[in-house]
Amino acid sequence: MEITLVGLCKYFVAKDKTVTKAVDNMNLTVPSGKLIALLGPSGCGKSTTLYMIAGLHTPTHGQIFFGDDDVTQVPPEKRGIGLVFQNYALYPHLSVRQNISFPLENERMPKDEINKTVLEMAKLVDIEPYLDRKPNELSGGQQQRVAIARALAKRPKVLLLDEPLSNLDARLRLQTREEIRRIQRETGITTIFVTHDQEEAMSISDEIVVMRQGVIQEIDKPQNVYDNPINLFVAMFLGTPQINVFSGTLHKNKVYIGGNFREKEVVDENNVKSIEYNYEGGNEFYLTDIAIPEGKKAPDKPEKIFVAIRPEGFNAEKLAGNENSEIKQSKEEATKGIIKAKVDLVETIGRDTTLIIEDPTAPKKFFKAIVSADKKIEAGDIVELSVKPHKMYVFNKEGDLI
Amino acid sequence: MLEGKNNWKAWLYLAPALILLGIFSFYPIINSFIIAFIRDYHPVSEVFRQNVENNQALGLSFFTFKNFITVFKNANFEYAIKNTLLIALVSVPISVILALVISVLLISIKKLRGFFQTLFFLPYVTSAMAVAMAFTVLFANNGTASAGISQGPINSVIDSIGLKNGLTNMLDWMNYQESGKESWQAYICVDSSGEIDEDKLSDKYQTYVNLQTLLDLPIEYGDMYAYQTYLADQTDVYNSYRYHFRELGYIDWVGAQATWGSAILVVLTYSIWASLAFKILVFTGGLTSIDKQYYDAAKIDGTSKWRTFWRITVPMMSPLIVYILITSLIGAFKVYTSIVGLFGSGMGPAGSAGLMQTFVGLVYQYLNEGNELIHVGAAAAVILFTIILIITALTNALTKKRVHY
Repeated sequence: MEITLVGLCKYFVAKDKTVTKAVDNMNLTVPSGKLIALLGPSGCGKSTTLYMIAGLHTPTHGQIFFGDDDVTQVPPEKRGIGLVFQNYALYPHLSVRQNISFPLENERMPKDEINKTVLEMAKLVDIEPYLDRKPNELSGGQQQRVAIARALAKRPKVLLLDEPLSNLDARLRLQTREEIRRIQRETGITTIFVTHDQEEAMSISDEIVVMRQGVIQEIDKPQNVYDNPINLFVAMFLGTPQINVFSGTLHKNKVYIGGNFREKEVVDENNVKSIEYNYEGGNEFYLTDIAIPEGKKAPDKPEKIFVAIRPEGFNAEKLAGNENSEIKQSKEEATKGIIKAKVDLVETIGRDTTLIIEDPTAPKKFFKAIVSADKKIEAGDIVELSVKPHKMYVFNKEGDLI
Repeated sequence: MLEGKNNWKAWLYLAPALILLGIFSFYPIINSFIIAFIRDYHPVSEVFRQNVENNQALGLSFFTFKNFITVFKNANFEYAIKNTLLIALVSVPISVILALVISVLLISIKKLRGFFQTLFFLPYVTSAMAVAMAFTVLFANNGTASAGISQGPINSVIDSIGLKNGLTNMLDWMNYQESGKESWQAYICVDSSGEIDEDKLSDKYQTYVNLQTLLDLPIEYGDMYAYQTYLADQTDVYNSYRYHFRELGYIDWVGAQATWGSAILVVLTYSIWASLAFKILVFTGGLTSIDKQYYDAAKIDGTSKWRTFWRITVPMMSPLIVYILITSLIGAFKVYTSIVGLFGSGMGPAGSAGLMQTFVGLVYQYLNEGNELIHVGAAAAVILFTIILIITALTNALTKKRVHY
């Protein structure tokens, strides 16, 4: 079942008449049989969107289509959806079996058919041995699976999951998200899944919808969103460790990090006045030859920008020397985008190593570089870093990609 | 830390509470159990001690069950048992159900919720005596219909919605069940001076026939005049049934002509209404603490309101409901103030004192009769304690399977 949101808005009006736009003009098409993640920080309107699709919230404007049917005014029970709540909302006084059969009893399904469906669902989510237990006798992961079984029992056309993994511990979270993916594949049900955890969203969804303050930022396949963030927010929201952001300057297709430009009035031979900008750099690195997208004029004036580099976007080489050696960086090196720096801290997770390095252009600010553990870099080592161009993004002051 | 040598500190801090509880709770409780089994106890003149000393040779001869027998033989014991049990076992379940329904409705409205919550809570902060006085005004009967005197609000309402005759019939039926007094007597017509109104008798006869049929009793055809003559001769009998001879008029709920049926209805109404406040307070508190997601989940699954109430709200509230049920039952067994408020210390309508007697009323009655009967009062209290214990244990056992903690 394809879900289409057209100009969907949800405004909340507070007592003092201030209007909060929880969801603003949202247009989205969820292809049939796909798993879509609504991703964003808390308060970005992703759960509100989900509840509007469920029918528990009424949109202020806009329409919701299931297939070709406008369901905007259809009550939740008639939409054919299954909803899994963040804290599962399993009825604590009913056994697992009764919980799963609860929606079926509402439909006055015959007893033996209910039993059959319950068993089938239990098998699907792998909770057969626990059918006669109470929810509080199950682990968080098992409760989550019961909640999914209950949502799927009445064979909905759409499955909605509201932060389904946030109440689980790290290991269970990994396990359960694979489980959700498997169940979704097996049933082929169109699934919308709300999360604030980018890793979760990236790992199991077909497409990610990144939201911020009620507005969709980017919709694409997980890898595409990661590789081509449309703005600084998306770039910063996806990826752990977070992308490194440097403030810099763009001038004549060159990106500078650190340093200043000095204005100088020059008069040419025809007595025409113009302003020249001269870079005054120190140990800063700057990166050259950034392609400006076509149609966009390279600024004559140096423009303040943000340069974002993924932690894995650095090549690092260990240099000879020790903690006390002085770091000498030549101007040529800086021009080529090569940084020499001292490693402050090292975080090891086995497969690779995170170097924490003080930003040479901004004291007390640190950035992270992920390198292979084989390099055997330790705290105090001096390293030479160069930047992989495809892991670097340049955003303007408003945070939009240049 | 609390173990070992520092233990005395804990006892020191507990001492004020323990001493007060000991003097004013534990000692009186234990003492009343002892007194209940002592013959001719007299706390001031120490007759008891003399008895003990005199009877030393006889061993435990001061021990007796006589006090309990005195209680059982009390003229109003039957009423005390009947009224107390009825008030506890009828008014408590009704008020629990009503409170639950009102709470659910209160929670579901947004506008005026605070107003209604305050309204329902008012009885809780109002003196029981004041409420009872208001009730006597509400249920006032200012004479017979023909007298044309204005009635209390309840009687006026009953009349205006045409329930007067029906209710009178019902009350007479209740009275018949309660006292065995032949109901049809109510339909012999007397005027305000007590004379039998022969003109009205014939069509009342039909009512008599209808009622006897309804009650499955033999109809004594043609016997009306004979019976009436018989009653007129038997002045004593006539007088004892006197107040039943009245016109099919307004119901005298709490006045001199009130019957057991009408009086108990007023007491039940009072008990239910007065006890609603606290229950609603507790229930609305409990309801707001139920996670809204359960209701969202039920809504998505297309659960009807009725099923949501029975399968979700009630089970989730069950610990609170049982708590309220048991504390209310215990409270209802101690009913006394409301009866005094409605009927005065006579514990019944004027002219039939003791008709509304309750168990605690019985205890007070013995205590009021001076020091001579304190041990009988204690025995009555022990009986009440036993009844409450049994009922509470029964409630616990019956609800155990249905409570989900």
